[in-house]
Amino acid sequence: MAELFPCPSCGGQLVYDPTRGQMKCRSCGSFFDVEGYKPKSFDYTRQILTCPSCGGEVAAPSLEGMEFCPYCGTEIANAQAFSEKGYPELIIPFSLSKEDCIDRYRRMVKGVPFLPDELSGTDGLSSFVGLYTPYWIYHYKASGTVVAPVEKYTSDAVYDYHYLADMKTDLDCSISMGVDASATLDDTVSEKLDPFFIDKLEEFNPDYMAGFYAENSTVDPSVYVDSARAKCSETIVKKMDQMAEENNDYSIGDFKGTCQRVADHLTVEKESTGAYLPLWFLTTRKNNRVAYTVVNGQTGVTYADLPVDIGKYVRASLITSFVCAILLLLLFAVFGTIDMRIVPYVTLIFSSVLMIISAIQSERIYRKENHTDDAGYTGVKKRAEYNAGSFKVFSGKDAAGLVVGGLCLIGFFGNLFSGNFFKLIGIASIVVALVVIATRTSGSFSKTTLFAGAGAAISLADIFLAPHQDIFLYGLIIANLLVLIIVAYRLTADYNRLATSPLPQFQKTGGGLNERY
Amino acid sequence: MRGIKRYSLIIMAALVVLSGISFLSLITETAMAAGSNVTINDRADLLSDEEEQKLYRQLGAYSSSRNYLIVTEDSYLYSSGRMHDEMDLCYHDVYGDSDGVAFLINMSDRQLYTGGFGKCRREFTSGDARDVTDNVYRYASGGDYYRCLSMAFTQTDKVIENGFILRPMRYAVAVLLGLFLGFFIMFVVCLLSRKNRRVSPVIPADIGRSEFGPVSYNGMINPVFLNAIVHKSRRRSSSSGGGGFSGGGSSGGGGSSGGGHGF
Repeated sequence: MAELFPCPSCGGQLVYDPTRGQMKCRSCGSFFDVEGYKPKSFDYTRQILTCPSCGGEVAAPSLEGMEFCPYCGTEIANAQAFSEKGYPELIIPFSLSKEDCIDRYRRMVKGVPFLPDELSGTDGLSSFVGLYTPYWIYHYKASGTVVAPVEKYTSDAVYDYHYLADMKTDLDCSISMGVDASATLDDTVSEKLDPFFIDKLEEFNPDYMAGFYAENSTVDPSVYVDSARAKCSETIVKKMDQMAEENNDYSIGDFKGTCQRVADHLTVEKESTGAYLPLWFLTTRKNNRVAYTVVNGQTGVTYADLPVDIGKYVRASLITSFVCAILLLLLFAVFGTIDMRIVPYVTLIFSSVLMIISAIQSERIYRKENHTDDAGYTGVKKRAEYNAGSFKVFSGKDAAGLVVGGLCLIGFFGNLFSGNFFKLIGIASIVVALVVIATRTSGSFSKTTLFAGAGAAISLADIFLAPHQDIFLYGLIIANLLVLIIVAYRLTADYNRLATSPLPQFQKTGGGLNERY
Repeated sequence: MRGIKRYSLIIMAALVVLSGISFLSLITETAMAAGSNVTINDRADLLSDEEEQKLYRQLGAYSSSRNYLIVTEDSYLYSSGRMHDEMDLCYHDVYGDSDGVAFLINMSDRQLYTGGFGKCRREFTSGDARDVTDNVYRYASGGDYYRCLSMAFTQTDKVIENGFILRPMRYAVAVLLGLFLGFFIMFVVCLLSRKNRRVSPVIPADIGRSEFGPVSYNGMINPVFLNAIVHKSRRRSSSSGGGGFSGGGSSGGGGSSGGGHGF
């Protein structure tokens, strides 16, 4: 890099300093304006590093100092190739330094318990890497007249008033929308890193790359056309809503329909342009899982996978368990009227709650690991198909779950319903759990859900059979509680699966690599 | 002299008779004291005479301010078939509303049931009753009804006298439930502490708040409001109710604590 960005004073290596917005010499500490500095023989070729583990590609004028793959955390050496391809037309330079980024990350995770040491210690956090991530900037023009229904509610001492009106809006504006074009950065993550202020886009200047890296793989711009159009129309309607409120305290009455009408007035103003947007990346790896921490290099908005350190979790759980057991023993001693036969109903409630949590968590894991919400991952238009709000799966298996739930309900009402609070809650909870499982299960039942189901089955056996022998009555209760302890532990392990990602395999999936830059 | 001798004999005889009466009355009084607060009604014939006597002695040695009732049945006394009603019926037939403890063994459905009455209802709660039957049901299962009853009343007396009895299952359940709660609570803490964590963005000085997001505008959006109409409707009145009253309650007499166990 020293050859590309030599210091005019001492010949040392210059890097871009985000806090001052200037080039800084690592040797003599001199600063130079970006506008005034021209790199030596910058010919727009770049070194490409392909990670031998995950296939992710990192590009930079020089890959000197690149020690770990930002996508999978693998230590990397010299797997380099050179590319003649250029850089995107636009760039938002880093505004936040690594220290700022670490500071913002620390503020975000302050008070989060059981963080792994590599995500909370100083040593681990020093591994943040500044990575320019490719975005597509879509340019639309909105013109024409849109009529949207607006409404407002007021009241006085006697009457309620419902005002209705039509808001006729003449649209004549240009709107640009940035969408993550990375094949490696999950769309759900990039959305959490918004906002980027794309008003701050500049013409690409190689000086901004000094000391930073860039992702090399991008998806085809056609992948996000519909998404960008929808977001643009939504943004315009929000603007209209804001104006309606400012003018007459109205609000848009039919937001979705208005978005659709605005979308019909959008035309492509010019071809989408590529841009580099700044992100700070920290990737930690454990047992073939990776946890990402990504900080918006312009605004400091932070996304972090926050896995749980299982050792810390178990230690804290055992201490809490001890306290809970003491409290329960005191409770049982003080309130001697507590009937142990209510325990199966209590365990049924807990089993149902755990089934619900596990089913929801399993669905999220399924969606995350299959990238159902990440159009950029496979480069195909999945967004419409897997709209987050409408994704439901009903199958024969789910219907069977509903039938079983119904039968349980009938059984309970027929034989056991006696107005007892715990019984009522127990019945309701198992039915709700079965319905949730039926509506939220995406691929298959996770083992944790099945364990929780086994816990519920033991509770039901204890309730229905009501064995006289203590060895069976309490044996079932004890077995049930042991199963629930395993489920609670497994839920935390599952949460870690949700909070991390499998090792990426970009070579296998292709990732819609595009070489337009 | 004869007169004196005769009077002496009469007096001595009277004294002997009085002494005998006193002695007999003393004996009778003790038997009644023991018998008045202990009743064993062994209709199912589960106890031998010797076992009944031993139980009389054991229960007679406890506080005389409490009544003790043992009933064994081989059919339902009460049409509801509920052990609680059965026991209430038996106890009130014998002791009315006075304080005491009853233990019922019903062989028709092989159930044990015990409970307190009067003041004993508070001292010997339903939970205590269940724990006592939990601790003794296995003797009944083995056919040793005397030991079952003897142990039950020993533990009942300890509970009423604020003594300590082992409740192993309660402890096991408390420990395991505590263990589960510990893991579950910490899991919930993990979830909640990680939910919606976000730090607010640093906004460049020359960016207005309306320009948030990966969007840039250039142009005009001019709204005009047309066809305004208003719907007017009378507000739904919400009135607060007038004063209420608190009715006089009554503390019912009778009633009992109780708990049981099959065997």
